[in-house]
Amino acid sequence: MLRALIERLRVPLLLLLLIALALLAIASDRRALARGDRESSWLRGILLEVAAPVQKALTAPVDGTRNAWSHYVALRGVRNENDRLRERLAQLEEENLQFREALVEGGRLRTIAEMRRDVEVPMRPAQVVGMDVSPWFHSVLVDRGRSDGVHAGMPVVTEDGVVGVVTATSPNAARTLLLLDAQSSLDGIVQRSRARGIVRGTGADTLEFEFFVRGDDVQVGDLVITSGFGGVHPKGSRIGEVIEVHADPTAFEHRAILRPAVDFGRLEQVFVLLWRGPTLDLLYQGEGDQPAPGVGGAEPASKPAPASATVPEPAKPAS
Amino acid sequence: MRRVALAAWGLALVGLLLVGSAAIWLPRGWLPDVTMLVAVALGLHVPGAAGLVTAWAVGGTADLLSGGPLGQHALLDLGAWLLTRAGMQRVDLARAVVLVPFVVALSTLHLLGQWALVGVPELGRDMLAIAIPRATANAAAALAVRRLFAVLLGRVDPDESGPAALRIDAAAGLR
Repeated sequence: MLRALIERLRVPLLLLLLIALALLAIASDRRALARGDRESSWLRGILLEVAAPVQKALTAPVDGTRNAWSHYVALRGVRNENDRLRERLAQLEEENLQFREALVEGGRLRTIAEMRRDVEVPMRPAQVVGMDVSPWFHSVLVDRGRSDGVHAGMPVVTEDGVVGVVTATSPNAARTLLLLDAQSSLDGIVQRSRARGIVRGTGADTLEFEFFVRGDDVQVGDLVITSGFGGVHPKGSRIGEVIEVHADPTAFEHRAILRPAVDFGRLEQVFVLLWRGPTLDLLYQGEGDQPAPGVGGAEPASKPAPASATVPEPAKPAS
Repeated sequence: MRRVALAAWGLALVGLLLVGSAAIWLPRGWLPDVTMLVAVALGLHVPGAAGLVTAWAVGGTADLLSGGPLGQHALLDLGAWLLTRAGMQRVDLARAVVLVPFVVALSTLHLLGQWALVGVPELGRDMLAIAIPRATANAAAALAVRRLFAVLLGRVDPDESGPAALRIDAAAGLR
């Protein structure tokens, strides 16, 4: 009798259990993301480890063809571009000279040099080998993981600006949540006016910048950079350019739309900053995900490398 | 049935890896929702606890390979399996002319379900620009996935209906 009842209720009970497990996973994952400590489970680690080499192999032939084509096209316009860049370089050198002169006059050069040493962190180049399997979320899979010193919470950038933050790692791969994702947010300031606010991903190709009103301090064309207050990204990385300002005279908080500095449609190579902000570092300590030696904490690194420098490839074991 | 479940999960994993790679070059939304289609195929071929758990596991795998919150694909693919089972009671989902609109409707429900669960995507014009090609891609791929699944099912479990099973039965009849 009881056995028959259990047999009859087996599927409905299983259904309820699976629904409860899924809802629990959604709730706990969202809480973890809000706290900033969404480190990978062992299961996610295994899947990333399987996915990275397979996707790298799948993307390689198409990438090769695309690169060969783009190099050919690029070569055709290289002379004109060379002339243009020489001209631009000369202009910048002149400007640079003027700025240096002004700084020396102000007695601030040494202070700035010291400050630069504080914020410069080593970085690791990584190749994008896969995108998110869902078109509603913006994340990428890169071919660097814990064995390269890459850990969850580390910022990811390109030479153009902020890309996102590492959210899950395995020994040889990492998933990076892009700035465009609706789950992403970071603290930003307008470079020109220093107006501060929160930059959020919209899930589309633009970003939203919510800032507090303080006069006419955000205009179309302004550059928004990281403020360094969020605890994830170091100060001064480019986030995007203001393309629209939605000013509501009755509201205290205004909104602007940004075009990201990074072209996310052509993301191929990125750099993982081997540094975690002090808040994130505290969260991960004791959870088996210690940052790489010399990485993390209020001081980014005991002997910081120049920002332009990348960490050398780890020595390959002799085969 | 365990082998069938494992084969379905393997099919979903291969599909996810292919979609993850192809998404680098293709515009957003042009690729099908592999796990939803596998959940539909599971609904058509694998009833009971085995189908239920496999659909959940297939969705869970998508969750682990995606940047979205854990659990949402698992829940939505479970829903796809349930709706397919319920749909089979009323209409003949084995027919392409029925399956295609069913998958389009399911894609819409999937989207609304995701929005209700995690607030993504934001409903609007931008969303439609991705949702419409995605529903079309799902409809186009549904028949291929169903066919692939039937072949796979016949190979791994000759007791189940599938081309291989039919061949075995025919041979037995001749003997």
